[in-house]
Amino acid sequence: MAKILVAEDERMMLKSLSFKLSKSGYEVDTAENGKVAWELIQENKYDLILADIIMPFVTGMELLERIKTNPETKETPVIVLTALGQEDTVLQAFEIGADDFMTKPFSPNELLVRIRKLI
Amino acid sequence: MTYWLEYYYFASHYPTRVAAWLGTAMLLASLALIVFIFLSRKASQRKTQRIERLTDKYETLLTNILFEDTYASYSKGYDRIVRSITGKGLDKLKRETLVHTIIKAKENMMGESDQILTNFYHELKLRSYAMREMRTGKWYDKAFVIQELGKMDVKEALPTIMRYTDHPNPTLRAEAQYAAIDLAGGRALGFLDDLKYPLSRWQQIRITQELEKIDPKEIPSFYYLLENKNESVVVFAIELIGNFNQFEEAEKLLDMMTHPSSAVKVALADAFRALEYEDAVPHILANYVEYSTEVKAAMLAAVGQVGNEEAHLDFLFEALNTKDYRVALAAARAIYEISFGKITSDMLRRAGTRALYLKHVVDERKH
Repeated sequence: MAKILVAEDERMMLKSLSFKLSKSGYEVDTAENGKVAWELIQENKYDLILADIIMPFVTGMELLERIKTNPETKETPVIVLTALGQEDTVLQAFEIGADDFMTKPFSPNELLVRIRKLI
Repeated sequence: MTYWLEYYYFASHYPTRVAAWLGTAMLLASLALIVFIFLSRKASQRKTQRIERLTDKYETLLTNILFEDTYASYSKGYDRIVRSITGKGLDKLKRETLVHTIIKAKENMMGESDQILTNFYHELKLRSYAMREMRTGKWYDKAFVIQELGKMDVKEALPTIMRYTDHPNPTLRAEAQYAAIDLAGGRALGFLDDLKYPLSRWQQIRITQELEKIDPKEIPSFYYLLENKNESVVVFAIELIGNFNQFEEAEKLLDMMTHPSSAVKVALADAFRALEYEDAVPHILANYVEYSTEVKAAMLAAVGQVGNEEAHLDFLFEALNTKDYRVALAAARAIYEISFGKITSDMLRRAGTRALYLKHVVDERKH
């Protein structure tokens, strides 16, 4: 069973994504901020990481940078979640090494398709 | 004790007596205030805890409706949830928390999930309460339900919402404007035609965000607003023209270069940059001396971005020698832009004592 980490500070979003992904057969860990996400990444091996760009303590962008510069995690696919109108942020995320992005609001089914493409 | 009471409270010495009674009154008032603060804090904490519990409950409920087959729309489980909520009825706090949770969920989801949430809202018959509250509630309740009706796509609310788009209360007015766009897209912008009150910067940003969500084909041309009597609407129209790249009637912007308002001229400079409108540069040069410092700085930024090095570098060097440091700094930034970031030693020599400005700009861009 593939293991996914969802890092997202909005509780409703975190619950929905975690529920949807678990129902689709993935093992899901959740983190409500970038700091907790980074701690989990260091302790576990994930097949994919879903990270919101705007998070407290450690932002999604900082988290992405840590993942992609760490030899142990740099191969893990990362999908970043952004808000509408953050095109510059998306470009920056791709430069750092993001594998895909989703702009909020998005369809959970579309997210599943993108996850399947990366795992 | 008796002696003490007699000495202070019933003393023959008048000031001592007054001070004792006043002191006691103040002490009692302070105690009452402390008790009041303590009780209201407790009440507020209880309310917050209740909201948290309800939010948690509704989040789980919505997640189930969205993704759990047992509760999928129109299944028995789903009907049970709808009946349990509509049957018991909702107090104000429960209702507001549920609506707030639905709106939050809708902000992040689109497609089928978004539709399920909207249907759920309608099946709970929450809109009839909102419609009633919009007409009779207090202004802050009206503002909340107007936002709700807009997000939940209750089209029948549009005529009433439009009446609030120029309301004296700024919060109510702003919420009505955003909701109108949510419900009718670009067509709702008719409220700008006769708007009496100014559009704040924040309102302009929010309306632009709402417009960015709708189909570009539905975005109207904003040139007709350039003659509006409300200056903030004119500024906003110019910004929208730049933001939505409405280049087709750009020459109309040139007629506004001598507009008396500095805010309008600054907005024009920004629009020229957004539209990359090179034909504006000769007009900027012709009117430049008449402009205020703020407008000069904005126009120099426009020249730096849409002008060309060969034709406009002399003008920018002239501006660099202006005494006003804000204009000189804007000119230095424009020189940097127009020469694509290549500040040569010849340029530094030409700048003379103002070379420091150019060096500063180069240094600024490095960081």
